[in-house]
Amino acid sequence: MSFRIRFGLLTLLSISFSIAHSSAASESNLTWVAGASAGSLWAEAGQTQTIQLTPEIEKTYVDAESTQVIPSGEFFFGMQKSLSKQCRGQLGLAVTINDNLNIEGVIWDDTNPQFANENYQYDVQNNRLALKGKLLFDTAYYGVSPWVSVSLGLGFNRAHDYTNTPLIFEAIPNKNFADHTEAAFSYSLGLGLQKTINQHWAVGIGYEFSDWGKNGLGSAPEQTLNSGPSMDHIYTNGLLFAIFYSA
Amino acid sequence: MKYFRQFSTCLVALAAYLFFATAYAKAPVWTFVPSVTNPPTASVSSSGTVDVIYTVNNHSLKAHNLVIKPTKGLRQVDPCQVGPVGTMGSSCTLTLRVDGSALGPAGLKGGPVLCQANTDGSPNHNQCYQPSKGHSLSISVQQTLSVSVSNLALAAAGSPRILTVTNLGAANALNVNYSASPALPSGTSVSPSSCGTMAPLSTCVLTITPGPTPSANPGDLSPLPINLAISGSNTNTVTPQINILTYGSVYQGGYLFAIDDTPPQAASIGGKVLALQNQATQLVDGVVWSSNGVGSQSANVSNDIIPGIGCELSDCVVPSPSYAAALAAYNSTYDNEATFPFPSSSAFQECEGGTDGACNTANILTFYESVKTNFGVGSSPYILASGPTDSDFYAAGLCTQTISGYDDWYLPALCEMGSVGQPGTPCSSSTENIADKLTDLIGNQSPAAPCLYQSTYPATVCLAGDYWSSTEFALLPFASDLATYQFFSSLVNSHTGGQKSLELGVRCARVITP
Repeated sequence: MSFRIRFGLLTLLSISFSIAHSSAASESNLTWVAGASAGSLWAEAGQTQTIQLTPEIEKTYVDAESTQVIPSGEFFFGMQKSLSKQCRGQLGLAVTINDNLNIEGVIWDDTNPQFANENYQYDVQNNRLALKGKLLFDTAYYGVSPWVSVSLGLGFNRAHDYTNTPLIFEAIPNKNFADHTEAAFSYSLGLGLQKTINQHWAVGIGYEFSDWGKNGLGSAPEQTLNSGPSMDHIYTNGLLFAIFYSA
Repeated sequence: MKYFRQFSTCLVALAAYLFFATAYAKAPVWTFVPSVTNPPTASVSSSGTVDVIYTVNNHSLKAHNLVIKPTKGLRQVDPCQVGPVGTMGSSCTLTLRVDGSALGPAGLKGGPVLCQANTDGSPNHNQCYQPSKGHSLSISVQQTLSVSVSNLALAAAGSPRILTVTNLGAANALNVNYSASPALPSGTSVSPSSCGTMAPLSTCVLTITPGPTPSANPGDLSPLPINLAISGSNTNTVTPQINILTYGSVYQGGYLFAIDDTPPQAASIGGKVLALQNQATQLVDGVVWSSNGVGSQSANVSNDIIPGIGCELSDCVVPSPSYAAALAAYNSTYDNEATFPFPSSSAFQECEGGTDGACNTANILTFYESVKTNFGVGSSPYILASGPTDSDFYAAGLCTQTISGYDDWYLPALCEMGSVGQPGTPCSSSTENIADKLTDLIGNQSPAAPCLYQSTYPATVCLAGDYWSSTEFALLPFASDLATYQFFSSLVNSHTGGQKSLELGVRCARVITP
């Protein structure tokens, strides 16, 4: 399913949820809050590694170290409580959907840079469900509230569509590593500014650092040892624009 | 701002490209060098095989065991294990056997793909290389044509005869055509003009209609047959030979003097040829008709009756003399016939003595190869000794030699040599004979004069003087001391009977073979 379609469906889901519970919480100073944010992530994904495919075959996958910008979106749904006159806390669930990050590089056959005979590439896509906590400081300054956030959760990293292309006529394409989805511990740290529009609505802008966690490809046909290229972390830096509704 | 961003993106891309381009090299881990004797561009018959050989060089610091990716029609003959680069065993000889019967009509183009082997010897497709474009396999499949005969002899102005071309391959043979070299003589034609496309296992029948001109001149001692090269654009070439013959044509070791145009169309004509030279020449090294085993001269004659090969003056057809007469003569002439009994009657054939020289010769040899008679040595009855009588000592014996590569010669019968004789002639001119058909080969003994062939072909050995025939001269009662011979001269040819002790010439004949 494309990024845009997933984004749209989740928008409908969270908006309908939040409207239903707007009235109940206001008496106890505990209100429901929902938010949607969208923006761009900068990431430099990929890691050079040597893999022993069989006892006789060993190759080095040399990452091209390219930086990419991909779209990202998040839906937040949780509760908000005043902690002090100026301080609010929010806790809830955040669902994040990220577009594919492209990992690419060149393969050194027999781990030797003399034989850099194939290009390779594949995509990693991250969807994340996390418990997110946010702390807002309400200033008197034009209704602007700076905030900090942290989330801890489970990311589903799908490494897929690995292909390789020979760079010389004599080289024959290798077999492709299989798709593989890894469930990994994933977290994020953010900070930003939020401005209240009226009693219910607010808009914000924020920066968020996240780690997608472990990810990797499956084995290729005829591969008897190990599996495909993998990483322990993918770090991203995001700039997001958000809109919030609180009851 | 926008342009700055585009420019900086461009710079990054350029830097990345340069980094990749200069830091790493691209080269196959193993390379293929084709052999000169067994190159990768070859053709194979649809029923045969061809070998392609490469030298495979390893450029890696790792050793490799290499095996080809399974390819229909291709088999790796020996293992290919290569050590690290710079070591003694870093190359291997890769011999690939191509099996034409497993390839389709398109042949085999590209590859071979050579991969690192797994421990079990199977190729692992995660590390494979192929030769560079110019050194890749390019095997085309030839369909195999075969032809019914490798040699076809026809009579000039005689019956048409056929060659059947068959496509033995599993696919169509395309554009099957033929060409004659040297060109067909005028008047001779081959039809159809092309066999076109021939389906697998189909045939194309070429009919050769001989004109009046032979393929080589009569008397030519080195005649060239016509090579009919038949091939298609995707086939081998078959080259049957065609000979268009007439009397006097040199063929299969001799001059053609009898032609039999009755064999079926798919076969060659039959006939008889006379050897190119004398085995013995009168007045030079003439021999007796039959020898007692001591020599070839008159004093060494052996007068015996050989059964079944006689020819009376009025009859050359009825087999004579009889076996009984021959046996009786033998037993009364020799003393120790119990030790060396006369050959049994089943050892002799009943020949048409006047016309069947091969049969006559067989009977003569049956006798003289079984004993040495010692006829005339001491007093009668004579003492036989074990045979054989030296074949160089007597006329029919001289025809057992290998002449012009053939070993099935015989002493010709009387009517094979001529049709005119004294006294009277028992021969009919309808029996094709040497005197009538080889006129240009006949010269003169005295005064010496060459034959017509010799003026064009100086190495010609002409017929001149007296030559033995294999026909015994049978007067009633049967005589043991007479045989018949032929006199050749440019003025008159005739035959007669005479003493077996005469020292005459010998010239052998044979029946041509398909």
